[in-house]
Amino acid sequence: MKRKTARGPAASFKIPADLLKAFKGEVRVLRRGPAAGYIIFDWKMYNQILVNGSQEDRVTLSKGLKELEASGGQLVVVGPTDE
Amino acid sequence: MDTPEEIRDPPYLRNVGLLLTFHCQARCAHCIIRAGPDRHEEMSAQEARDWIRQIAAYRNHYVIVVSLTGGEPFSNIGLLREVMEFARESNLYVSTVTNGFWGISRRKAKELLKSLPGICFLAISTDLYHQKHVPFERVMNAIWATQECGIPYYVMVVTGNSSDDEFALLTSEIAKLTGPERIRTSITFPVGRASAIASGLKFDLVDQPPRESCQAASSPCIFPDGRVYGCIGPLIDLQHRHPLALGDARRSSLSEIFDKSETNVLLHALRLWGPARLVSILQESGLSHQLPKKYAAGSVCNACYCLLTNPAVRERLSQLEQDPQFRRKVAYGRLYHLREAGMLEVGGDDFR
Repeated sequence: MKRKTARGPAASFKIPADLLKAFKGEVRVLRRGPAAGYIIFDWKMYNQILVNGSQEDRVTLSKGLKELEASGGQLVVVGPTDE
Repeated sequence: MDTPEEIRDPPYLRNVGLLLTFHCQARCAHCIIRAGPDRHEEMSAQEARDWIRQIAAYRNHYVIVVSLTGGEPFSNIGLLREVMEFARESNLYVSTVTNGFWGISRRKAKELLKSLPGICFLAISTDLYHQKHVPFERVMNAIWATQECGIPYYVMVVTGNSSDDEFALLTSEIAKLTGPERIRTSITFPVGRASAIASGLKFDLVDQPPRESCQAASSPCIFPDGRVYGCIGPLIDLQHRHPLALGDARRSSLSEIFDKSETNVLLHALRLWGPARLVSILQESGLSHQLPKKYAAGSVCNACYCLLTNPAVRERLSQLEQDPQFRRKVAYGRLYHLREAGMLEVGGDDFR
């Protein structure tokens, strides 16, 4: 799989205190993904893509990702920087 | 037993849809886009390849999945295969929605899927509307073949009311083969072709819009004529200009359209808080009399659609888009709730 550029908020933006306070008090409601239309890429899909092949290393990688997910980890794909 | 699936916000723009065709074997009464056997508008292979090329190149392969939808993408196997292969060559995963009409037998269904190895994920649609045109047995054959080929999948079922007995019976039959965890339900309401059967729809009406965030607006969709929408929902049926009409891929590059969408305040407000938040803001603005009196229960799409069909509401929302405080709240809200800095990165001081 080609490496992709990392993208994320990281530490370069700081949330203003007034908004931080507001956001902490917010309750957002999420429903299981949209049904009509098409599919959202998620953990299970990613895992099964890796498993759906005949290569041992893909299965091994999938097991590792499951363990990572179960322990609350995050998957970050890092690509080459401009430096 | 699997642990309960945690529901997460879909990240923005990791998934882009291509509506390959308006043709479909079925002419379902509830179809938002009015697909059917008499429709022949189709994405050209050349344009599909160009758009896939642009999608793959966007932000150095930021997009992970191309989702093929319609109509029925399996209507033109040649186009489906060409698009699938080019997407895979471009290092994009491919997911596809289908009505399963090709499940003539288990053997043939499996042969067909084996001939399309680039499809990484399937969403198979069936419900009481589809079954008037696509026999349930074919859908079950398609599901069986999908399982045999080891392809991850969901079964999408649309109903006017999730308490409906016929719906319950159908989902229980599907669950015998798939298990309940693979079934996804959405509520139909009178948009598109379904507007003609409004009186027959069984959805419950409630006083308040659902409080859910919109997840569909995380994935733009490109139509055969180049229109790009922020979601594949009922807003595509609107003739008026609205905030989720993102651009025209025949006039602008996808890079420009996607970058501009990063700073689309209303789109991301819907992703963060759903249409319910916009309803609250509109009420506080003194526009209660312009808002729907009732909403279809459990349908975020219905609430969004009802808002954007009203010109007075659209006008107020376009003012809201320019409000510095609201823009700031949406930009930082994306950072806090969704861990996305796109609005701040692309929009800079306009959002701080």
